Formats: sequence, C-alpha cells, structure tokens
Amino acid sequence: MRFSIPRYWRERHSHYRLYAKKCSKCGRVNYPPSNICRYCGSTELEDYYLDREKAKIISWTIIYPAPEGFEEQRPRIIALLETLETKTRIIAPLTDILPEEIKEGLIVEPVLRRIKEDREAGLIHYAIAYRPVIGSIGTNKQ
Amino acid sequence: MIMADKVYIVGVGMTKIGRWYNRSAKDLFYEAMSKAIEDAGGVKPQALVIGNMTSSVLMEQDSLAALLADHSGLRGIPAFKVEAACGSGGAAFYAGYSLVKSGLADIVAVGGVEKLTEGISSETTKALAQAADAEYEVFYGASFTGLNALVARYYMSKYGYTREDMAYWPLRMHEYATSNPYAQLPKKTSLEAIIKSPVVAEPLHLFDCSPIGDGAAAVILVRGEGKAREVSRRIGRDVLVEVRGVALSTDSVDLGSRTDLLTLTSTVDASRQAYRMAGITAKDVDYLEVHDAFHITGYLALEDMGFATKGEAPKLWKEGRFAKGDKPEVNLSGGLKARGHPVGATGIYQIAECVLQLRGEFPGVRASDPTIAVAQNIGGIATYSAITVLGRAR
Repeated sequence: MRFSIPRYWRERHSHYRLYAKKCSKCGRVNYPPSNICRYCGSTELEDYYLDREKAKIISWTIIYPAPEGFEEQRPRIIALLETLETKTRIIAPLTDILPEEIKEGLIVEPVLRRIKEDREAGLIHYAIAYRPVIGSIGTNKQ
Repeated sequence: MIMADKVYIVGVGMTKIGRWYNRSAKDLFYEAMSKAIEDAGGVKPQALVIGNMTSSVLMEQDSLAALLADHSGLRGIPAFKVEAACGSGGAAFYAGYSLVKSGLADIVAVGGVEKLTEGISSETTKALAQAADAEYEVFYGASFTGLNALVARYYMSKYGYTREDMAYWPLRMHEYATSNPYAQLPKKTSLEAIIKSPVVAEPLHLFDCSPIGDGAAAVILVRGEGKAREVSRRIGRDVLVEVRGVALSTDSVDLGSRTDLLTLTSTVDASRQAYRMAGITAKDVDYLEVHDAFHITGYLALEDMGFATKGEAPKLWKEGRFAKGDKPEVNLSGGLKARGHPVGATGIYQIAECVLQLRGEFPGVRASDPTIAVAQNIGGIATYSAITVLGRAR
C-alpha cells in the first residue's frame, strides 16, 4: 500500500482512539466520523471515542491471500464488531487470539497494535485492534 | 417528442472471458465493439460510455474512454469512463441510456472492459479491495472477499446454513457455463470439489467466488422505434429489445454503518424503481441475470429483488427453484461465478446476455421464450446497484 504522511497524520485520532462523531439529535454514533449525521441528517455532532467501549463479535473472517502490504501477517483475522454501550458496528482486526477461539458474541477490548510498515521509508503505522477480554477464553473458559 | 421516444438495444458484442496475457484492453474492446456494430447492421455510434474499475491502478492508464474510442475507429466522438467498482458496467449503461433518451445523441455505445491479469495477484486483490473504504476497512487489511465473508458467515449463522447448503449456487453456475462460448470456466464441478477447494477468506472458499479474468462487452442503444426497426430490417431480425426500466442506487461504502447487514438496500431500492418505470412487478420477470460475485451476493439478490423471502433463497435454490424452466430463470450464462467477472465489463455482459435471451439467440443454455429480462449489477457489497429491465417487442 502506498503510504501518505498527510493522510495517516490526519487519520491518527481514528487509528489510535477510534475517533467518531455522535449525533446530538438522534444519538447514533457515526463511524467512520462524518460532518453530517448519516442516519438523520443533523449537523449537530460531537466528538466521540469508541476506544472507551468493549465490543462483541458479530461476524469474522480469516483471510488467507492477504492484500498487498499484509503478506507477512497471513492469515489476517478481520471482524465485524458491535460496541456494548452505543451499539456501534465497526470493522477491525482481531489480535492475541487463535482462530479456533473466535466465536459469535465473544467480548473483546481495544488495544493499540502495530498494523503495518512501509518497508522503504520505515514508517510504522499503529492502530486499534481488538483482543479477547482477559479471562473470556483459554483456561478460564467455561 | 424526444422524451416520449423509447430506447432500444440494437447491437451486442462480447469477448470470451479469460486470462488474456496476449491481448490488451484495446484488443479486447475492439473485438467487442466491432461485434456490436456488426450486430447492429453497421451503425456508427455518436457517443461512447465505458464502464471500468481498475485501469488507473492495474493498467496505469487513465483517459481510458478516449483511448478505446480512438482504437475502435471512433476518434473524436464524445466518450467518458464511469467508475462504480464492480458495478461500473451497469452505471455506464445508466449514463448511456440518459444520453440517448435525452436526445443528446441518437446512437450511443456502452462498453465495459477490464484487465485484471496485468500484475501479480496481491496487486489485483488490493485493486479490488479499493471498492471498500480505504481508510476504515482496507487500511486494516480487509480484502474484498474478506468483507463478503463477514456477510456470508453472519447470514449462514442467522439462518442455519452450512457451506454445503450454500454450494448449490456455484454447482449450478458451472453446469450452465459449460455451453456458454464466452464463459471463463466452462466446466462442471461437484459439491465435493467446491467444499474442498482452498480457503480464501473463511467461510468463503475458492469455488464460492467468481474468478479473476479479462474481458470486454459492448451494446448499442438507439432512440425511437423507427430507427430500431430500420436496423432490424437491415439485418433481417424480427425482434426488438426495448429498455423499459433503468435505476441506480447507492449505499454506504463501509459495511459497519449499515443498519441491516443482510439486505442489499440499494438493490431493494433500485429494483423497485426500475420495475415501476417498466410498469412491472417481480412476478412478471421471466429471465434474470444477478451479480453472484460470491454465492452470498447471488442469494441476497434473489431475496432483495422480490423473488424469495429473507433467509429462504439458498433453501429454494437447493430445491431446484430459479433453474432452467422456472420463472424467473436465473443466470443461464453461468453468472459471475462461471461465466466470469471482468469487473467493469460484467454489467454489460449481463445486459448483452439478456438481449440475446429475449431474441432467442443466446449461444448457451437458452431461456424459455422470455418477454421480460432483468439485469442486476452491483459495485462493492451493493454500495452501488444498477438494475436494467429489458422487454421484447415484435
């Protein structure tokens, strides 16, 4: 993937804290953030950060032929999550989890992770991934 | 008077879809365009609209429509490219229809062309992923197949379908494609081969997905029954194919913000609009080409266009519904799954196939004397939906 410094600098709040916009009229969280509420059309929106919420797994996939730039991270686990408080749905990578441990409804929490790097310039991109809440899988599992 | 005149498709042309390492986009488009002009009795298009997704990334070529016009003997005419990801062909048709319907041109060619095999597969995977949200999906390493896999798993979990239940779609598509001379994968397969094919993005395996291929297709539109009849007489054809309805709708690019993940909302909207414009309902549709880039999108299309209730399509399909002899008959071409999916050209292939079915001239599995045919072409996971309703007139 082509790395653009202005682009990833501009997106840093979303990548590091899952910056979103919460509508003051209908209350829904717009993620990706938007200047106008995509659900009710209101322009009264306030900053909201989804990294304060845990989430549950709605659906997931394990991707084998990874897109360019992710060759070393095969297979890549991508999930559709729903946050527990605001019920906001987001697409995010899962980490610290084995494929056989993933299941619908599993509770996960956000954690900052190295996503990829530009091998020529050495730029490293960090962003939020989700890991199982400690105790939710493994030896403590029911 | 112009606005009251009907629009007709008087010529179609297609290339065989494949990995054409020895042929350029110009070569493929020239073949499709020449065939369409010949099929239309030699009329000269006054404008050209091109559907294409990846020329900028994979061919490193912009200015595509002018390049193709020039190399098809049409230098100088108005020409432009329409991009709507995998739905580029259907969206280009929508634009071409509006040019001819408005009277801006009397004869309009709409073509689609795609070259997906110019580089290595991770480049193609990346280019196709650009249909999704660059900063909020692709950034995290989601591929386009991966995003469809999220929908497929959710659907299968919610309605209790296994991978085998879903596999009847590719099974039937491969069977139909065996007799389509334009198909990329004209070979039969088995449930076992589908189930055991290599995993791409769980739960989607290779045979659940459409293949990567190159191809080009073109159709020629004219305004007015008189002009259409003149062309038909010239080449001794007694069937006219009228464009009765067109619609284009959009939805969010990112999947997460959708209220209902298992409904292709833009397909619901566009199909209702196009049916209304054509003065029909889903019950009137005899023949249907749907956008089965993955088995899941094929099943969702049947539900969202009014042919099955939500959650029922794979069950009905497995029971034999939507096959040759049913109403509607679906994807007798082999669909994206086995005819192939040269992205920006796919929507034009579908329309060309519907035209040939209505004329009774399709060179593969032939529909049972249809009078109404519908093509559904989507871009992204129905971020775009283009619906085209065609009718036979004598």
